[in-house]
Amino acid sequence: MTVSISDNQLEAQDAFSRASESQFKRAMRRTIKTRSAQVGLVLVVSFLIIGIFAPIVSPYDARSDLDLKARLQPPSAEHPFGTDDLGRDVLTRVIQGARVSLQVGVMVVAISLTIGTMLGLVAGLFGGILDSFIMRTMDVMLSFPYVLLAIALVAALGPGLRNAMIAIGIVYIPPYARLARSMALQIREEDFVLAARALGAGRRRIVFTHILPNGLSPLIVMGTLSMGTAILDAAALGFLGLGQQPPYPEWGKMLVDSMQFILSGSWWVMLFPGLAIMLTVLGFNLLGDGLRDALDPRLRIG
Amino acid sequence: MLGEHATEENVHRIRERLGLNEPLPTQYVRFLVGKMTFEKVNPKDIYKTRKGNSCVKLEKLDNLIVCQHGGSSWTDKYDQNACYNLASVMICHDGGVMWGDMGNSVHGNIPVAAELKRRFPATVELSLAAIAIAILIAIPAGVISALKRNSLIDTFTMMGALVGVSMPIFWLAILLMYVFGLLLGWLPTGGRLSVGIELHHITGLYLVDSLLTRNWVAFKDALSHLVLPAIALATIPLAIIARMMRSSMLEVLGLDYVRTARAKGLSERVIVVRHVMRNAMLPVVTIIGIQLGSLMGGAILTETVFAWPGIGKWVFAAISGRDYPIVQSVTLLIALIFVLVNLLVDISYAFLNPRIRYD
Repeated sequence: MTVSISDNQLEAQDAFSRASESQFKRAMRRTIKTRSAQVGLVLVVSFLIIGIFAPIVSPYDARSDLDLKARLQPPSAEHPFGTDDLGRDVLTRVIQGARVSLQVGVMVVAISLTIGTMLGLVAGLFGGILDSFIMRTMDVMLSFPYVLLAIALVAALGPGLRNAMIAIGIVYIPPYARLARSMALQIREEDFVLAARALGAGRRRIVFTHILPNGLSPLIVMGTLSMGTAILDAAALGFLGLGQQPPYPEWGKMLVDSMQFILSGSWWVMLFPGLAIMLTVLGFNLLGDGLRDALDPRLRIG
Repeated sequence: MLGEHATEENVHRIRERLGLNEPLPTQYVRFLVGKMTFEKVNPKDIYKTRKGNSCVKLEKLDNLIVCQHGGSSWTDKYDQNACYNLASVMICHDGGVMWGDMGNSVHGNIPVAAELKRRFPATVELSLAAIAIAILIAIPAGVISALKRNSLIDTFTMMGALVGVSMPIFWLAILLMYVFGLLLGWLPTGGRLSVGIELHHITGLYLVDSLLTRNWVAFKDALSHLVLPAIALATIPLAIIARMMRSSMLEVLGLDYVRTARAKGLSERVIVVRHVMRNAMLPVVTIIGIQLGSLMGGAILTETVFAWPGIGKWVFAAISGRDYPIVQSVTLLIALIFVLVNLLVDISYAFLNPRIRYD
């Protein structure tokens, strides 16, 4: 008897995963049909490739590249993006910066998505005083401009890339918690959850096999979109000197360093890191919008 | 504060002076209401005592004197004893946010409240200008792109909005500074007012001050200083409001009452302005409120680039320098503004949609 039930469950699970895979494939197909999502995908993929293979694709060695004789050179065949105030190749530094930003995006989303989803699920499923406590804490966090909160957190933890990632990750928790909570509240009333409960499924099983998979698509969309904003905010922290410390290249830090040289007309030091940030974030935004339209038709704009 | 080689004794003395040796709840209450003492004095001596008291500040709580209601003095109709008891309580306080005393900064020992009062108008002026630019451009843009959906104008606007939210605000600030400040030389690159221009401060908002005093030279100068930072700060709210306006318009345009209005033969103009826009504004107003509240984050970056002497730049320096009284006060102020703006947004719902009432 027990054997047959678990067989059935296995089969059902198998069917479920097959169904969800095809659903995922369908969503991807639908996503890349639109022009803007295609552009987003190209931008994101090229950013990923550049970030992962940074040491290989850089024209110069990031560590030993320092030529004080060739300071602040305008773009040329030798240095397509010019050189900075220490004679370092700007293109190399922009490429190396992609690696930092990639790290930031992944870490921030990992921190905020796991903690936020967990808190939201707990709040939504247990309810009562725990729910109030968690959600009011989230409300308090939301009542500050998040850049200010992130700055304050980094100031408390001490400047540096790791702390900047932790700070942004923490600041990004509340929206995930809210999303996961509303998702849990909504899905737990569905008939299939009732059916699962009637079959004797435990709370953990219901959460992990019924509620989470069904609420995954908004989380994926939010994860993609916040990957972009995380990169933007990390650059802002870097700009204020609270992120990645020199001499390691970081886009925001490169921008603030460039400010003192634009008076002498060295626009290239400022232009390219900014463009890199913009294109990357734009890519994540386009892809995120496309995913949202494909995964959740209810949220479709226009 | 004392450096690395401070003696234990000195550290202890400083801790005592700043009240750091007391339990946290005590410190918190001290922060809120200050060190309060209640003193009983003869009501006739109130004004005398006020002068000669050793407290930093002495306030008489006029509204506690119940028997002075209606303008009659305490000796008149009412029971003299009751009046005496109430009127004679005087509150002495030393510090306390509740009384508008935010303490002194760690660096320089400057009263935070006074400095905040001096700098806050600069940020208010910048934020209001930014949100005004954002609203003035975003709402028409959103309306037009919703009405001409999928047209070239729509694609262009929405693409622009997406680029706007993807752009680092400080990069845009530097770009604007480079192009308009340095290359073209049209506008100044930083500060609020050129050196040598006199302006009588009334409200602290330079544009308003110069208008009030009819100081046109100062007005032009203040405006030219304001334009670039305001545009930089406006970008993100502009993009977000435009997108929200468009999607909200599209949603309302598909509703039944719009079809009814069309069927009645109303002109397109009346339909759009009176039926669609008014209903589509509701979520947009919420977004505007949220954006106004969170402009502070952008203000830190914009003020840093343009050397704008507001609280954003100040609080950033304070955070880096661990100047907690400043950080505390500014966060308190910002959270207060955020909550107030949200309250105003909620109230404005009732005007926009009379069906919404809070009973």
